[in-house]
Amino acid sequence: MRMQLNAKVFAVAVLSCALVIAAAAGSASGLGSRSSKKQTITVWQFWSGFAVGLGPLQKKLDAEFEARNPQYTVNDVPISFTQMGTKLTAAIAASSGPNVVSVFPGVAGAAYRNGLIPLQGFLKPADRKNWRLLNIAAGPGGDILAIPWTEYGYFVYYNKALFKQAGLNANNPPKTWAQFMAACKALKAHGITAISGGFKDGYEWEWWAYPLLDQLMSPSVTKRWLQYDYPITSPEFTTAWTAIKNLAPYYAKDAFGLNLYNDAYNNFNSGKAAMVLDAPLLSNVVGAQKALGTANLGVFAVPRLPGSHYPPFVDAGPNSGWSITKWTKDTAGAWAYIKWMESKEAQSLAWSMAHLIPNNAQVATPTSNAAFKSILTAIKNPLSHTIYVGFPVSVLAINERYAGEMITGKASIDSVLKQMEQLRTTLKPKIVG
Amino acid sequence: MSVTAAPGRTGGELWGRVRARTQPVLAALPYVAPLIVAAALVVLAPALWGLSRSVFNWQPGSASPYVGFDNFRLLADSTTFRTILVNEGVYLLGLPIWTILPLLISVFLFTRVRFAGLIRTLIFLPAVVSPALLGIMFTPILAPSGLVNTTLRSAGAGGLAHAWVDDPSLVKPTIIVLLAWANVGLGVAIFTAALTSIQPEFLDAAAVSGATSWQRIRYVILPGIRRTLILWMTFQALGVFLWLFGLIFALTAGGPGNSSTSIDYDIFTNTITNGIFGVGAAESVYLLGMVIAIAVIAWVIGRQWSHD
Repeated sequence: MRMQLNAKVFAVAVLSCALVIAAAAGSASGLGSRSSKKQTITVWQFWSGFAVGLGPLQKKLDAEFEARNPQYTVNDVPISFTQMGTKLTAAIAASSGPNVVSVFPGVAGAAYRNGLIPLQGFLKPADRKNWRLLNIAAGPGGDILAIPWTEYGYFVYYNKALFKQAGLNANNPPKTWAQFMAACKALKAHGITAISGGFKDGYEWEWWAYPLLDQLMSPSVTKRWLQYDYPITSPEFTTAWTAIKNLAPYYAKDAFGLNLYNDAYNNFNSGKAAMVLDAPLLSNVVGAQKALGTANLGVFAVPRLPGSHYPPFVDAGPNSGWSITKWTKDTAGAWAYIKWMESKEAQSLAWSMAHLIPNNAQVATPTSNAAFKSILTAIKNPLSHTIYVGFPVSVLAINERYAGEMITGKASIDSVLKQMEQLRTTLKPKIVG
Repeated sequence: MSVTAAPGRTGGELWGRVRARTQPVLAALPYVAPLIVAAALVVLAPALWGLSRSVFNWQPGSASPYVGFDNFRLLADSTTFRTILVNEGVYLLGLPIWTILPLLISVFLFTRVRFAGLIRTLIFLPAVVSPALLGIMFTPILAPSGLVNTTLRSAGAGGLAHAWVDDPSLVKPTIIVLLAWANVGLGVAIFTAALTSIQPEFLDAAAVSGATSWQRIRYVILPGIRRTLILWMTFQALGVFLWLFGLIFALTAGGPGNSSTSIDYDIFTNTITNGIFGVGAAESVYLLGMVIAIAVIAWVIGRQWSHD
């Protein structure tokens, strides 16, 4: 009996050991170990959720990478943008998660610096020459924690027919803020909703904020801002936020309860409003052209505010960025993936499949679309830049939560900016070090 | 337990008394020890570890310098934290509704309704829905163009249609009503169980003496179920601080602004979204203080009622 019992105990002990070893082997899969021949690169990315059609592009890019690097398999994990910060923070706390991850460059990336490795050491002179936007990639400590990937630009799209209906010159869109407000007023006077928007998800507010802050921040202030050395309670923010608040009468009455994604686009495309602010994706332009007619869709840069420090330009920056996590042991493999995504071949594919604007200067962007041409020209303007990479995502989240209340006047701009500054200050040790 | 020798007693007697008292505890110890060890390892140790981190700029996997009470001060000075405390206070105003509604229904079903079992079962159904699912379920229902407003408009009561969870002045009352709906079934079940413990003779005697319905409730039923009542109210009050996360996360994400943020949701935001783990730990300490305060208040009230 005792012998049988001992045998059972022994069997259980062996089984337990086997399970522990198996579990350990499982946890060491992917780029955490070089034990197996075919390695898995786990990629967490949010950008493919920005629009329909980007998912297939990500799959195609992964397949091309695997074809060129047969020793690697890509495990693509699409994560919604709103969830990414939470998931990445949890992964960093656990020191376990993806090998490559979508992170915005600059301050936004520095917020995760405990879990990301500096990438400037990987960059070759040719990369520095060909990959645009590296100049805004470094965080306050000087480390590049995310490599910028593809470009966007903020523009106002407008329905020429509705402009004409309001007695406006459809071929001469507003260039200054005063002209823009006058156009909004004229549209409203003719019973037309001037701007299609939605403040529930909060993005609409910050999409206006970036191009306005770009103008109001002098070059020296911009530099301080990107180094995490300029408070949100400064006059530039109050001016920009007030200008946005003053747009309230020109939105539809229910705009505070609508989302930018996708209510605002749907309403604009169905002719319910004369203008919509849009940024990242030319695929939205294609959608609007299909809905309203190519000749009927106009585009102009966000108008110049009084006090702008620059001649006309647009807010343009990276769509997202790529980072490597600290727990990734085979960093060469992870870097190979990023290098592929930045390559001429990959970005040519992104342009041809989804009209993603490349940040690789070697990539040609042939197009016969007049709107595309003007957008591409404005984005490549050397003056075009962005300050959005100076915001930690969680600070922006406060503004997103209050956007609906601010536009309806239920929350004061000052109190929201103070809350944002409070969190920005709290995060300083984490971001700057 | 005091082990000081009482005057006139020998050491042997005292030892005997101590042994008599401790022996049953020691005999039971081997049976409960695994549970105590497991609880200590799985619940107590991580909780204490988390709480101890409140005095550090806690960055898991990185240097976490000692910051004293900075995290506590930061929260005390934070307008967001103050808003959240106000929110918690407003949510607590739902306590009478969450208590009286199930109590009245259970008394009503207990005394005078046929098919009471079936009705109780139907009422209980919302209690099986998790808070997060409740939030997901009610998001489209309470949206500006959702089921509630559409129904009101089509019934000609468009004036009653509101932005239930998008208006900062309405979101908390809406959540209170939603919680009343979600919890009423469980309350009815618990109060019904308590009502069955009241001896029928008391109710009969009250009826024979000509007591009105209200008098029967006031002088027979309420005293008979007061322990259950206190327990229920304590759980509901604790729920305001500990169990709102799932509903808030799925329904409002704390908004609009911070007008519906609860403290458990904010701990999640500070810790996991903002990555300021030390502040999250300090907020947990505040939360612990609030929970202890509620438990003490409930205990004091309970004792007082027992002595009445």
